[in-house]
Amino acid sequence: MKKKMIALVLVLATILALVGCTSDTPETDATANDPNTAETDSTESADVSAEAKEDTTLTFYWTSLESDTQEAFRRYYITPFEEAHPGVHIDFVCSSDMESNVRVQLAAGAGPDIFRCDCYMIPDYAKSGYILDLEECSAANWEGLVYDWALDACRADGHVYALPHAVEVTGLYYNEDLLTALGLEVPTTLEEFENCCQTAINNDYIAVAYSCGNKTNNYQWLIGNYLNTYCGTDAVADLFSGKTTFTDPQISGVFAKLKEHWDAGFYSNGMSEAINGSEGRSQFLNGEALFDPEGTWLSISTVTPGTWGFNWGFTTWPSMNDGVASVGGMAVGQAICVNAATEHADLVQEFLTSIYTASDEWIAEGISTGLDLLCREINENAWPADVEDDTVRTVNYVAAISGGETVGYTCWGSYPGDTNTWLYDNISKYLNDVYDLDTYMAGAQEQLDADLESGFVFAEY
Amino acid sequence: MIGTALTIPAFLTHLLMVSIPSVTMFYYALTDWNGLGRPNYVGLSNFVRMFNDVDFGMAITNNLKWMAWFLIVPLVLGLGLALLFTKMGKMQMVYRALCFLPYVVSSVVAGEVFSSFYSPFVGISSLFKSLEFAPLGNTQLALFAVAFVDNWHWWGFVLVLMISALHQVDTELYDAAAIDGTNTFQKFFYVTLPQIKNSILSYLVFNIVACWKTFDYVWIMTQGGPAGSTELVATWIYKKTFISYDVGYGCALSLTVCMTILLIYVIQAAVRRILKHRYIRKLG
Repeated sequence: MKKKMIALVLVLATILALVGCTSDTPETDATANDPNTAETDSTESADVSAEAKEDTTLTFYWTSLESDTQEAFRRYYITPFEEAHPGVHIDFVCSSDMESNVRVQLAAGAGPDIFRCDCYMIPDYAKSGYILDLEECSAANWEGLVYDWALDACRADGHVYALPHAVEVTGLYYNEDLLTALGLEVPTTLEEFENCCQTAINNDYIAVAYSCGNKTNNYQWLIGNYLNTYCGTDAVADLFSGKTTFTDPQISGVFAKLKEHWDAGFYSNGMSEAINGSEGRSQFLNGEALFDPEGTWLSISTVTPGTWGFNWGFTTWPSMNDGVASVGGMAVGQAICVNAATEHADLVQEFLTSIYTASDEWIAEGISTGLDLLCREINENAWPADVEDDTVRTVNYVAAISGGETVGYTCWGSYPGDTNTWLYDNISKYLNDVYDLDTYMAGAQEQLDADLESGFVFAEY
Repeated sequence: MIGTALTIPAFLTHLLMVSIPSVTMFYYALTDWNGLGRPNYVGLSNFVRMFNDVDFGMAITNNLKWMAWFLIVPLVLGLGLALLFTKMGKMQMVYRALCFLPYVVSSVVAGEVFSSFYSPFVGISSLFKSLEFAPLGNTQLALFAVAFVDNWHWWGFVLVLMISALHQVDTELYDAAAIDGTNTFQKFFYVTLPQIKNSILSYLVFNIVACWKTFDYVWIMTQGGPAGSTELVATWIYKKTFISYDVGYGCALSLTVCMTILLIYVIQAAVRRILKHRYIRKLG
């Protein structure tokens, strides 16, 4: 009898557990595929204040962040909104597997209300109908506040589908003290760059600290910078618009030049693939290397401002070819999408807008604690009195590079997703002579043809 | 009845978490699904693409090399040291524990630590600068450098397995062999090996399956590089499915690998059955 009861309890418990796993919003499937449904809901929900008065929890997913950055996120973005909307709680969840988890959840008709995404993923999400069209919100609240080029980076089919969150500029960090000690100046041309690198090597320093052993997507830094400064940004735009091809000598010459420098040992003495992803950065920060090819995230958030062990500078990537400008790549580092199935569309959009409409002083204070640079202007007088010089200098570098003619494209911000993945996944085969140049270029072109055929549109600056 | 009822929770969990997703893989392998939206049926084009996929071919070649390493090296090391330890008396337990310790270390931790050991700037190479030893950046050495680490993690388990197999050998057989005047090598080949043959065969079968699932050390240390020299089937499938979001193609790859391993298992089971029947007939 006792055994029968135990068996019965187990079966009932299993049935209850299975029932609990099913979706409790049967209409979710329909709303997940109909991007207009949430908008219709928003027009029917007349009063955001009334909505906010009920106890409401919004889920906000992000990728992995350091604990102090998570705290800064909460302090500068989330807490002010919660305080202004009693009863509203934002559940901020950070996870290294966020991207794949969100895809699975969206496909199941669930998922967070808001989540971080990269710009190259927006067209896929928009096409599938899983993210909300934010064109109306953008026109009403973001235009004139958020950089136009950043909003364009978050468009699909002409509509804005995400709020751009961070501006990144790529270029070349340099150790000013080491440059001076070696009798060198900041390079702006190919000859100057090669001279700097060779001089560093001859004096037992590393020329460019760069590692990609277990982070193959780091190749994007080099590919983007070389394309911008060897064939020029106009040629890059032509390439990804389909007007020219990877087999064009002007384009293939980019990769030949990169291989020339690679074989010369400019990048971590030819050992870039033998060291893991963060060791290259450590080499630069320990004063063992002259240059570091990263973007402005290094001095805004990765290295705590005020803790650098030497005088550093940041410049555009030197020209790799005669007659081509020295430029820095500019991109939206990350964007924030809204789940089309969210039940709080208006509230969510109000939260996103609040990130950008906070006062200049508040935003500047957040950036000075390590938050990313937002895609908007900040009054130069808004910085707190104790802001580190490193932060202000980085912001000034970004403004100088992005505001002038010295702006190029980045792989992750502008290139079609599959072509970009193919380029950085296979460049190692070219650099290690497994592929010859023609094979590498042919493979890239095949991928680009497929991306263009599936509707990719290159957004020119 | 009660026994069946008690297995229902485990059965249902397995059905939902393993069986049903495995079966749906057959469907998604025939589509071009990217994980979002509706999958489009594309027939067998994913399988046709697989035969032309040079990188997949490279991954299979690397996996075969990996399998060859792991069928031989851990077994030789494990069995060799097991034979030694079983003669050690009380100290045996201490040595067994020391050799088993790597097995309890997380693969992420071990992978990161060994990546630093292998670094030409801060690792072993920095002590012997003239060596210029940077295996993770060398297309000829990288696979074996990673295999060494996985082997370091794994061979302690094989050692314990072999020790347990050796303990099951009837000691009277050794006494009888001694009376017949056999030497150490003859005892090993004619007494020990036949007695532990089943344990070795089980280890080999288990290892063949495990080799085709290997992912962790390669992903942590090299992500398949340099130049695809450490690309394994599992890492290639992962890249296609979760980085490129070419889920349909990833399912086709997974299905093919799964069916191949199943075929290998069925063939080896059939061969063992035939050999067993022949042996029984020989005795009879």
